[in-house]
Amino acid sequence: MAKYLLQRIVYMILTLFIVASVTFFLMKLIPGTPFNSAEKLTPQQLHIMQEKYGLNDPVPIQYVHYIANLVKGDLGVSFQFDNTPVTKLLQIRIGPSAVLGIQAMILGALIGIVLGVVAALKQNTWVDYGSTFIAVVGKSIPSFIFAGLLQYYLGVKLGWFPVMFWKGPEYTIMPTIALAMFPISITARFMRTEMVEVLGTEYITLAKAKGASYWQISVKHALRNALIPVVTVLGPLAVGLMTGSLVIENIFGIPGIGEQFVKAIMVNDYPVIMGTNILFAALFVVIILVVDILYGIIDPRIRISGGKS
Amino acid sequence: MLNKETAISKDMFAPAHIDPSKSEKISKPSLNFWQDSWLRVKKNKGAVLSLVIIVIVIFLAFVGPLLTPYKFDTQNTKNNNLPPRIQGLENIHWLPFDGTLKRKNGTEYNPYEIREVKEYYWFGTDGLGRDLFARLWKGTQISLFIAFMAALVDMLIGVTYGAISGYLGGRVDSVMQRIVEIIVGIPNLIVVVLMILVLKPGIVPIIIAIALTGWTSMARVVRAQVLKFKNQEFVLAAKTLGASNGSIIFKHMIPNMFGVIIINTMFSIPNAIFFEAFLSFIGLGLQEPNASLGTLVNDGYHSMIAFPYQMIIPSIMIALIMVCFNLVADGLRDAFDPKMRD
Repeated sequence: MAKYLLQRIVYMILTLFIVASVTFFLMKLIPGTPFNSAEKLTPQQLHIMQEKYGLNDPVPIQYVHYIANLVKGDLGVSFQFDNTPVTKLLQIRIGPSAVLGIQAMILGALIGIVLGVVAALKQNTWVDYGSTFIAVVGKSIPSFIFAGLLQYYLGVKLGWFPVMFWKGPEYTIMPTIALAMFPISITARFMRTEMVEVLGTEYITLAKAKGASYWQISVKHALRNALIPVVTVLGPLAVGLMTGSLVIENIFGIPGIGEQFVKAIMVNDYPVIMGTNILFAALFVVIILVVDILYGIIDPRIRISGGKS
Repeated sequence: MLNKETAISKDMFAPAHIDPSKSEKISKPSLNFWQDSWLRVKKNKGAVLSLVIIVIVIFLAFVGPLLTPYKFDTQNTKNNNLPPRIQGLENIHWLPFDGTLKRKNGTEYNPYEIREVKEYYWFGTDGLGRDLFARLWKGTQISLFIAFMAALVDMLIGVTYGAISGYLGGRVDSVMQRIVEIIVGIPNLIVVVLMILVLKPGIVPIIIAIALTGWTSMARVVRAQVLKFKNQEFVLAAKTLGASNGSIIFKHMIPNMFGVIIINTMFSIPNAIFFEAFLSFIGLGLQEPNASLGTLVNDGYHSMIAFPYQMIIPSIMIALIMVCFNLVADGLRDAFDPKMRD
């Protein structure tokens, strides 16, 4: 276990290092300057500005500086927000993103599990087909399209929920629903497959034979065993939520990390782009690792050994 | 009960005649892999319907722009923001093709009559007066092109990488697999966004960016298949007969894994459509006057409250294409999966 963990952590650090390096060098390749109305600046002014941000040093030296700062947890300062440190910007912004992500995850997992279980218990009835249909549609339709339609029909036409911005709990409802569509469909499909498989096992037959009630069989025997592998979809779900949040936050005008990332792209704010990238990558690898470890703890049949995961 | 049993007398039964020469006869017609798969795909009504819709959409993507007298990039600011109006359907009020719009206070008005426009724009016009019917099909055409090309490049890279990694094995395999593990560890989104920032938005950069991130799952699947086939008799026989590594991989192994390759490709098409639309939505999509489904939704989104049709029509199109491709891919997976054989 210790050896496995160590190996995984080494890979994690290596991955993050590669992400940081690739991001850095790609940023250097991007044409254009991060300064507003650069054409109005005289060459001297431009030179002074670049000097200030260390953009005149040779690229390898900038790279070494960058990585050294990164190790210390310093992601540089933003070009667009008056030299605010990127870490501080991210700290301010992570709140709404986290609230939204966690709400969507919980809502999605709950509805998904219910849909999947009901579909498996009522196999090949209209309940099953309906649940499969929801899963296919939820997986297929991009979240931002769904968000746009929600905004138009529920927000503008019916006026049930506030259309956008982030001023209170009721403002989180529509973005959460839009973001939860993906987790709902993924968990529902996965849950159905697992549940069908578990319902066909011998211990369910045994439970039936000893006269356990329908509910006891479904909940106590089948559901508990079917839930274990669902942990494995948490990784892909988290990634889907991150991708989704980028556009959802923009659509609903939520002051989160995704919204800032898109703004930073528009104005070539390199440090913010790099910082957000590294944050996303770090979250991603940590989530994958945690999921793998959790899986090993929950299900003792899965053995984590040195070689394969 | 008893009466019925006694009513069946013994002489009603006769031993069946068994012809020993026919015991090995194959009663069902022999089918090759494709016929067999097609039979099973046909049973899945959702997949067949989706396939038909996809064919129609692809057909219209090429023919659609020719059906209207307007070109997708001709601007006519006099006729901007007109709602959809179709000859014949305009008098049926509950259809959204009557050429009317709603004001904020709920009253309806007909911009065609107010502005004395004689033309019929089937799906309306956008803010620059471009015909949205032509733009929709042009956009569909470009989105599908991007998706197919990206899936094709994905397939080529993935199959080659996976086959080499699995076939050579040993140290080469473990190095190649470590590389894949690291690439999988990087969220696709980051790579795609960075690639577009560097290469500037356009059809080719979008294809490259999507393809660069999507090939890993194909590589893994193909590697697993190659490992499975590597020690099977037909490969050993080919080796004994002196076939080169290349011809063993491409002539003997790859044809045996067409099923998984096709399934994987089918899943990467909707994925590519999603990423293209996603990029358009965060402002890294195609440049004007070109249109893709993503840019159309994005453009329409900005005038959603006043002119909802500009967003809703392309949104429905993306949703339709994505659902259909996913259903076909699901159907194919069920058809090709040998575990499901009855």
